[in-house]
Amino acid sequence: MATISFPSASVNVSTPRVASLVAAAAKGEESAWNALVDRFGGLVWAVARSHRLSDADAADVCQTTWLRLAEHVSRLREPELVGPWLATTARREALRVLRRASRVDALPDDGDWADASLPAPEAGLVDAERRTALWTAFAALSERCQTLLRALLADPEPRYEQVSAVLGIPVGSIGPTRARCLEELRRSRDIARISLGATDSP
Amino acid sequence: MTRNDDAELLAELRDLLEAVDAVPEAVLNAARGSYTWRTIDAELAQLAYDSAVDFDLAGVRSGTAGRLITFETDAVTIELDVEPAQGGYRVVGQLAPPQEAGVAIRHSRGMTPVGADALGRFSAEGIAPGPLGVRCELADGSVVVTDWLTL
Repeated sequence: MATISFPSASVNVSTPRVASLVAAAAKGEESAWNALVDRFGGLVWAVARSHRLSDADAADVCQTTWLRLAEHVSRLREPELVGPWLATTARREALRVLRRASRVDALPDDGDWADASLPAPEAGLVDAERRTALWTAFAALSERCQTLLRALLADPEPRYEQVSAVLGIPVGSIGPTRARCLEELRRSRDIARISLGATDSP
Repeated sequence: MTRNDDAELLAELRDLLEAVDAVPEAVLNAARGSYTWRTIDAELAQLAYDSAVDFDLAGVRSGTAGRLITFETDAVTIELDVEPAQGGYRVVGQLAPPQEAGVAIRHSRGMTPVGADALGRFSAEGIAPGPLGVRCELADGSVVVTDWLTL
């Protein structure tokens, strides 16, 4: 199982690398741009989906966010903070999409992402029930907790500033909030497991 | 709960999110393709007002049928009035101060050149929902591009 990095408030080793990717992309290096997409593409998607946007709306938010970066990549005041910049931009666009008047197509678009695509059964029935229990528990979490956990998991080396930008909470609140959210998730999951019959006992 | 328990739960959740809601490859490809839209040596007009999200001075969100969007640089203001219509959005624009200019509506499917007349007016039809921006080439040859926003 790959390790999870807890967010670091201190400068981490990859910070210079992110800043140099931005500098290279600003100079016209497409490979540097693609590396930024690889690194932060999941985070931007997670921010969009955290606002319960449908696939189509989330895709629009992502594209707008990256198009904005294309224009701003040579103008960022703090290149090493491109992660928080992307997270903030995605959040603003997601809120814009949520608040605007109805779209041209006016089709019902309830964005019911939580109901869709539960994981397919894997090796054993027990596995599928455990995953369903976790998914059910996650979907039942407050939007704040879901957003926090997605923001933490969507980037291999999340910075506190990114999570702070996504949630609009101070950096110092992230640790305690994370602990509370995980406790809630664990409790919900345990309950869901019992009702699904997916407990640890053989 | 111990830090290990938390790490294990997070790892399980990460695997699950990857399985059910990973970023689609099409979205990543669109992100990669966004790079070709960047302009060099253009002035960037920031979004100053969007009636869909901003409140007017009376504290009430604009009740007009159209959506009003304003971008600004020091030298020029670009106003858009966007209305849903058959086959896409109708965009009616105004440059201030009024001036003739080469205008193009930038959207996810490409660029639609429209041109602003001597009074700085321009319009376009059938604009698809999604990312939207405007590019203006002014009489002195300078180029202004607006920030993108999601229509």
